[in-house]
Formats: sequence, C-alpha cells, structure tokens
Amino acid sequence: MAVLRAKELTKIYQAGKVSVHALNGISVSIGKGSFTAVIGKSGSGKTTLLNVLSGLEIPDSGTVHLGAVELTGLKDRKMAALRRKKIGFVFQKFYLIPEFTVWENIFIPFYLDDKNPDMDYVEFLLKEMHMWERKDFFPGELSGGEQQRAAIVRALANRPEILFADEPTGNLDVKNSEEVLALFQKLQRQIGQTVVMVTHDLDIARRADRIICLEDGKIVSDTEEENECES
Amino acid sequence: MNANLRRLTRKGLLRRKKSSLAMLAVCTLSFFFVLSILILQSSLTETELRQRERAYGAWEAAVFTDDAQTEKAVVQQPMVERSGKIEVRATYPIGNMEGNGTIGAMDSQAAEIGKLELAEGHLPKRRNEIAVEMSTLTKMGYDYTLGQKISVCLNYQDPISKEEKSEQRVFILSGILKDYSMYWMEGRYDWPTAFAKGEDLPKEQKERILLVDISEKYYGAVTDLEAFCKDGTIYNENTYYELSGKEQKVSILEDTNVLLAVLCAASALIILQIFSATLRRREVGYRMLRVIGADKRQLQEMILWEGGIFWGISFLTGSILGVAGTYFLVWGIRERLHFEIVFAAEPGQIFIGILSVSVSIWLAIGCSVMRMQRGKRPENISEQKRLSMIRKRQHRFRKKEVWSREHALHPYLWTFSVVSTFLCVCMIYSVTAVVKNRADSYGYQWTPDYIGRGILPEHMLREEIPTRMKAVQGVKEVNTLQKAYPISLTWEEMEETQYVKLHRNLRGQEGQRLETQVLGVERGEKLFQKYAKEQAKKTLKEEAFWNGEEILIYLPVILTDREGNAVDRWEEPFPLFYQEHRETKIREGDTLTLTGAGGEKSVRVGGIIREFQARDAYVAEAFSEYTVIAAGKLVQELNGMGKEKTYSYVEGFVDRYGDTHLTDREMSVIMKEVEKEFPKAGTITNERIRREQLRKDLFASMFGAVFLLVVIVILSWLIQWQMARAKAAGIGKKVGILKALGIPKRRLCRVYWKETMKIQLGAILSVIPCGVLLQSFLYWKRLEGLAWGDGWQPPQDLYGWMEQIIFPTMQRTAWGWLALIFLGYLLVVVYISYRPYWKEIHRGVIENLREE
Repeated sequence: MAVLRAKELTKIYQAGKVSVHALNGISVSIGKGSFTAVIGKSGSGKTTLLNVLSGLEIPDSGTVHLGAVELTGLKDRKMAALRRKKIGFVFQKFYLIPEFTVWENIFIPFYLDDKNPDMDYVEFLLKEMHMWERKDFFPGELSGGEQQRAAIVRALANRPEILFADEPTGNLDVKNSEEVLALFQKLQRQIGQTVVMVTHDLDIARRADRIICLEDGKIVSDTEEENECES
Repeated sequence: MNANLRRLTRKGLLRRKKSSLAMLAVCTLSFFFVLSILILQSSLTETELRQRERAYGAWEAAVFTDDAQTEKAVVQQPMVERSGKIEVRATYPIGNMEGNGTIGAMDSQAAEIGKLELAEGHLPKRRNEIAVEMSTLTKMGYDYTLGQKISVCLNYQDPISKEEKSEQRVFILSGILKDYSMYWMEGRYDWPTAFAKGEDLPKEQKERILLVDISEKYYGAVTDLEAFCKDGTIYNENTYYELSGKEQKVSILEDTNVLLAVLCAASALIILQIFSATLRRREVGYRMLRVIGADKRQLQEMILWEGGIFWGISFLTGSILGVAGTYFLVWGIRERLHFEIVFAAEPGQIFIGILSVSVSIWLAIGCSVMRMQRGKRPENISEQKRLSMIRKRQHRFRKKEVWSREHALHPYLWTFSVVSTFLCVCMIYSVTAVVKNRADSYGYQWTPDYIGRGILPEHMLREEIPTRMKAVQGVKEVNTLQKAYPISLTWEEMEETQYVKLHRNLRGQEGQRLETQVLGVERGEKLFQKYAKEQAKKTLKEEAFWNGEEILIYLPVILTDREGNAVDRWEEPFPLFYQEHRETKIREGDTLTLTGAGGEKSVRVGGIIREFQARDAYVAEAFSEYTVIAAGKLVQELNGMGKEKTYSYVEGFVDRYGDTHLTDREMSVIMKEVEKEFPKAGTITNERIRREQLRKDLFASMFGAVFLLVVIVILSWLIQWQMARAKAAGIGKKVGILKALGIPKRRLCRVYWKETMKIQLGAILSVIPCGVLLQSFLYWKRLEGLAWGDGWQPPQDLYGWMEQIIFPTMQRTAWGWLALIFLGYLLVVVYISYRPYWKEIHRGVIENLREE
C-alpha cells in the first residue's frame, strides 16, 4: 500500500538565461514501511525530488499525495500542520537549534502543536539512539554523530508517517554513518517506519529496500522494477 | 501562541546573551533618554513656575468688573481655585507732578495670591489706618516712619448725585507695601497704591478687581475665562499663561521635540539593525522550524513575543532608571551645583515619551520581521565570481579589491555606512555650534554676580549708597552710573541720519534735539575699566575723558519688524523677518553738544560702544539710545553745580571668595546683609529678578543643547558600532578565503583599518568646511539684513568674501570645542568601527569559512 504518490512532477529552475529541469516528469510511489534510497549525481535532482515529495517545495506541475491528502494545493498553515504531524526530516547538516538543548529541540514540534509529547516513546527513542544521557546537552557540546542522532529523534518523536533524510550520513564518519543506517533499518523493521533517503553513495543506498536512480531530473532506474541500479 | 512556545522563546533569549543584552541596552537607553529629557523639561518648567509664583503671586488672571453678579459667577467657575478681591474706591493725587494713585480695600486672599507684600508694618486692621506702596510714599514726600500721619485727598463720585467730590482725610501709616515697580509693568497692572479699611473709604466702588488663581494649568482654562468675562480681563504675563493668554505656543521645532524625534528615529534605526542582525543569524533555525512544522504565523508570533519581552523589560527598567536617574540628576544639580530646581514628572508627557519610544521599538521590530520574511536579496557579485577574480590575479590580494565597494562590502551597506557616518558627524558639528551659542548666551547672563539699585527707592539714590554698600561684608566693589537729566543731544549731521528719524519715529520724540541720558562714572570703577574703556580703548584719551572733554557714546541697534515697528530684543515670539539699523553718522572725533540744567557743553566722541559689543546685558540695560558715558565731573557740571549726586545705576560686585561666581544661596546671604545695612529700603533683592527667568530659560536651553550633544554622540557611536558589526559579518567568508590563500592577517587589518579611517576621518574633514560655508552663508544673510540704510555693500570678489565673510565666520567658530569633541568621538568611533573587523580577521580560517 502506497503512503506517498507523486505523478508527473516537473520543476524548472532559472539560472541566469538557462533553464534547468531539476525534475522532468517524475512519477513515483512510496510504499508504507519501505526504506527507499534516492541516488544520483550532483545536480540530478534528488534533493529537489525530496523537497517536492515532502512539500517543502511546490512543483511546477504534477501532484503529490500523502495518503489521501494532496500536498501541492495545500495552504501554508495546513502544510505546516501536516509536516508537524505526518512528516519527519533529517538533514546532512543536522539543523538543531543551537540555543536549545537536545531535549528542547525534540519537543519543539510538540510545542508548535501545543500538545504533550509521548514521553515514553521519546525516552525509548533517545535510549535507542544512545542519547538519553546527553538529552540536556546543547548541540554545540555534541559530536556530529550525536547531533545527527538527536536530529533523528526529533524527526521521529511525533511518529511521522514518512521520514525524509537528505544525505543523513554526509557529515559523519564511517562508524556514525553505519549507526545511523542501522537505525533506519531497525526502525523500519521494528515499527514499520517509512524512510526516504537521498544519498550519492551507492554502498549506502544498498542498505535500502529500494533504490531510485535519478539523472537530469528523470528516473533512470528503480529497483522495484529492475534488479540493479546502474550508477 | 501557547505557553510552551513562549517559555522556549524566553529561554532562547536568555541563552543568546550578547545580542539580547545589546537589544535590551538600546531599548532601555531609549526609554531612559526620552524620559530624562521630558522630566528635565517639566522640572525646569515647574521650577520656573514656582519662582514666578514666588515673585509675582499665584494669580493668573485679573478680572475687572463693577458688577457683583459677574464677580459671584467668576468665583463659582470650576476652573477658579481661589480668588482675592480688591475694591478701588477713590483716586488721590501723588505729589505735585506725579499724577493720581488709587486707594482701595482688599481681602487677605488678594494680598496672598497677588503678592502684595508688606516691606514693613501690617495691613490696615483698625479704622483710619493706611498701607501705602513704597515708591508712592516717597513720591508723596513722606519717609518710612510707621505711625506717622498721612494726609490724602480722596476724589470720588457721589453715589446719589453722581457729582465728583473731594474729601481730605488723615490716616495713620500702618504698613509700607513693597515697591510695585519691582514686579509689575507700569501702566499694565494698575493695582491701588494705597489700602485702607473699607469703612474709611467712600462707599461707591469705582471698580472691583478679582485676582483669580486658576487651578488647572491648561491654556483652554484661560480662554474659557476670557469668553466668560468678555470685558476687563488681564493676564499675569509672568505665570503659566502667556501674555496673549489665548494660545499655547507649541512648536514642533522646539528643542525638546526635535531631540525626541532624533532620539526615537535613532533608536528605531539601531533596534532595527540589531534585531535584523539577530534574526539573520538565526535564519537557519527559523528555516528549520518551518521544516518541522511551524507556520508563518507561529514564527511571527515567536519573534513578536521576543520583541514584546524586550519592550516590556526595557520599558520597566528604562522608565525606572529614567525617573530615578533624573531624580538624582536634579538632586545633584540642586545640592551640588546649588541651582534651584525642583523635580517634576508630568504624567502626560511621560506617557507621550513612553508611547514614542514604544512606537519606535515596535516599528523597528515589525520592519525586522518583514525584512526576514522577504528573504535575502541576491548579491550582485557571486562568491564564485569573486573567487575566480582573485584566482585570475594569481592569488594576489590587492587592497583595492577590499576598498572597492563591490568587493569589500555589500553595496547598500557601504553606501549606508558612508551616509550614516556623514550624517552623524553633521549632527555633532551642528549641535556643537548650538552648544557654543547657548553657552555664550548663558555666560553672557551669569557673571559677575551683582546687586543693583532696582530695589532701592528713589530717595536712597541720593544718599552715599556706594560707600555704605561697600561696607557690607561680601561686597567687593561698588560701581555707579551717575545720572544727569534731562539732557539734549545735538551734533552737526544729526538731521541727516536715517537712524535719528527712525529713533524719533519709534520713540515719539520731536523737535531739533534728541533727548538722551548722560551717565557719569568715577575713576577706577570696574564698570568703566572693564566694560566701557575696553570697548573704546583704541581711540579714547583717558585724561581727556576724566577732564570731561571726551565722552563715550552708546549706539544701539534698533530692530524693526516688517511694518516698521520697534521690536524688543527679548520679545517672544521674535519675528522671523526683521531689520537691524545702526547709527553710522557719529564717528570717533566728532563733536557733540550736550545741554543740561547746568548749561551747554561741547564734547568730543572718544569712543563708540555698539550694542553687540556690550557683552554684559546689565550694562546694556542701563543704556538706551545715544546714552553718553562721561566722567562724573561732567555729569555734575551738566546737572548744575551744587546739586547733590544722583545715581542712575548702583551695583555691588559680590565677591566673597575671590571669584565672581557665587551660588544663589551665597548671593542670598549677602543680600540679607545688605538688607540689614539698609533697613529702610525694605527687602533688597538684586536686579536679577527679571533676569532670573531669562537665565533659567538659557540654562534649560544650554543644558538641553549639551544633553542633545551627549545623546547624539552616544547614538552616533551606537549606530557606527552596529554598522561595523553588520559590515564585519559580511566579510567573514571572504576574509577566510583570503587567509586560506595566504594573505597575512596584518595586511588584511591594515586594509580594513584604512577603510575605517577613510570613512570616519573623511566624514569629519568634509563636514567641517561644509559647516563653515553654511555658517558663512548665514552670516552673510545676517549682514545683508543689518546693512539696511547703512550703505553696506556685499563683497565683490573672492578676496572680499574671504575677508568679510569667511574669515570672520572662522574666527567665531568654536575650534577648540570642535577639536575636542571630534577627537573624543573619533577615538571611540575608530575603535568600535575597527574592532569587529579585527575580530573577524583574527578568527580561525575554518570558522570564517564555516559561516552561513
């Protein structure tokens, strides 16, 4: 069953006098509980695809459905609410807010929604990520891997339907990268978390169930349909 | 916004200590400065009002009526706090030539609020008692012995037959009222000059005068009263209500209003700068919040809540500090400088001040939010292009690249920086000029301390006042101007002068001679030595002067408005357009003819004193048009031999501790000692009674100007500091790249040091000639106005311009002050402008490059 469906997505950027087709008629659907990796060269459109799928950017044409809700037509407030409740994000640069502790960073989405977090679940996540001892630390006091793990806890704390990760291991060493990927896999298996991850590393992408390969804004291969991605 | 978000925002503020403190400091300072200025203004106003009330009484209006019903209605008016009644019952002749005075009765309220004080004795309590005003008593030929019999011829209208009747009455002098002329302009405030019990006077009232103390100090109250009593109302020109009594003189260009506007605008600018900078620094955080589900409204609310916290805290601290700080400042001025000032905080004004600052703060916060939401403007040169340009030059770094607007800073920021620096320096220059001007005016009025004859009754002036006054401890020196009168003045070219025609026209004199006064001075007196001789030292032959062959003549400038009416120099409001007229026909060496009771004397003009040269106002006040200053001997001759010495002006320089600047308190102690020596003269006050008000105004004005200067310098520093921070933030990445490419830090420092100096020093060096040129232009316009009918020609060539306009202007410019202020300003501003660059350059390369 597909949790996210995108149809005929097009996104064009204007760079001076040249038009760049970041997305060129992409259609894709993400199944519930799947772990999908999007790979491609620099400028192939993978981050744009992630942004459009998550509703951070609006496509020039095409539609994106998260469950029954069409993201492309949503107003700002509804989109924001949707992101709060159903979508989680993890970025290469972590983007934790420096003046707040790990604990406070995790709770920000709940505060925005004015609801109480599921403390047991947050505790479980923090312990799973080996961050429980560091919950009162400020981001500046943590290592890169710890910051990324904190960002993952923040993304998962509100039990999102889908987790988007944009090169989550890009700033991490091998050991930390391995831990993060193992975590994604564990989440997928244990709680059926849907994960969409963008990476340019095929070895990392191979940890996913499905690999979508992009080139010049088009899907050139999809392991759901083929067995191997030729990168 | 929910409580959790509010708490989170608050925590964020606490953890961003530096930017929060900067923001809080600026907001607090804004409240502090604005409230201080307003409280100081109301304190000075209140002080002045109290002084005036003390000298001139508490009444604001006097209603003249002969109708008991009107009187009753006035008293019942809600704006009338209290009233005193004076009844005028009859007139009586004063001496042979002095005209008539009025006699009446008054209640105790009238004596109290009308400041009709007794110098000696008491108001009439029993039948046949009378209290007479001091100068009137002298004019009637009586001395000041209480209990003596005073014979008065009362003239009144018979109530039945309506015929004019006269009745000779004898009263017993129970009290002597202080000299009215000390306080009230003759002919305007005609109170009775003698008071008796009502039963002793004719029953028919000529007039009732109601002295009214209006409780509410707003101009509408006077207008209401005037509407109510259509006829016969005069206003006390010395109280809250102005002479016209009809409108409040409020100008948006008043010092305080201008200062407030400058303060609010500068505060808004600085707050905008700081808040925008903090928001810019947190842009990534806000983007992240958007990603994790914050909508625009929630972000706006969070930022506004932050602004609200800043506003709330600064409002509290700024208001408390403003009120407390000003209280202690006023206390310090009163206790340490011994300057009489009361603390008064006007709630309405404080509210307006708080409102203005609040509006500025919220405007700045609102603009910052809008700027943040609008997003970053694209720079016109991309980082890549810059790098490629550097590479093309084989990694050679040239200072030109940094100095060039395109490379050094964002073009808007560069322009903004240059313009703001120029404006700051302009403001400092102009306010320094204002401070100099105000300080000159203030000094002009202040020193030396002296006591004068204004309080002495006429007959005392015939005694040996100088000798006796000198005997008082504390009085260092006594100066006199002896009086010769009446004196006619003629000279050969007299009829030709435009000035004489004008003088006659304005003063209403006719005939072939010009009536003037001759004032005699004695050898060695300071008045002559310091002021008169100084002004004419080039031409005056001193021995000839003391022999009565040469004189000094005072030629004032007559001011006329556009209709040709004379304008008083101290008139308020002073007309915008006026002409100054000078006498130019009298020159040194001319022969004048003076004709007095003692005969005719031909004298040579030894020196001319121009009004604008007479630096001390009190000397100028003793002079009038064509006043002749001559040796005492000449005055004696003009008055006729054998006549006793009379004085037009007696003053004692008070100099207890060797300097001539005494506090009011010390002055008052000495005044009391003088008073003790002259018991018959009543309370001796000095001639500063009227001048006190002017002095307060001048003090307030100078104080305001100094305060304005301090505020503007501090604001300029703050603006420059913020500007420097913004500029330094913009160079971080580039500096990192340049350091990575091998450019030494020292070289970068040198380049940015030069950039800082060029902007700051350039602004100062360009503002000074601009300022001199502007002042020269104003001086030229003034000369042009001055030259009407005087044959003055504007300069014809560059040399003439330099000689007549530019150099005199430069001579009058306060170079010392300017140098001192600009040096102080420059030292601080260069440090605060360069320091952020220095910090940025000395950060690690990686830190520079990591910058978002």
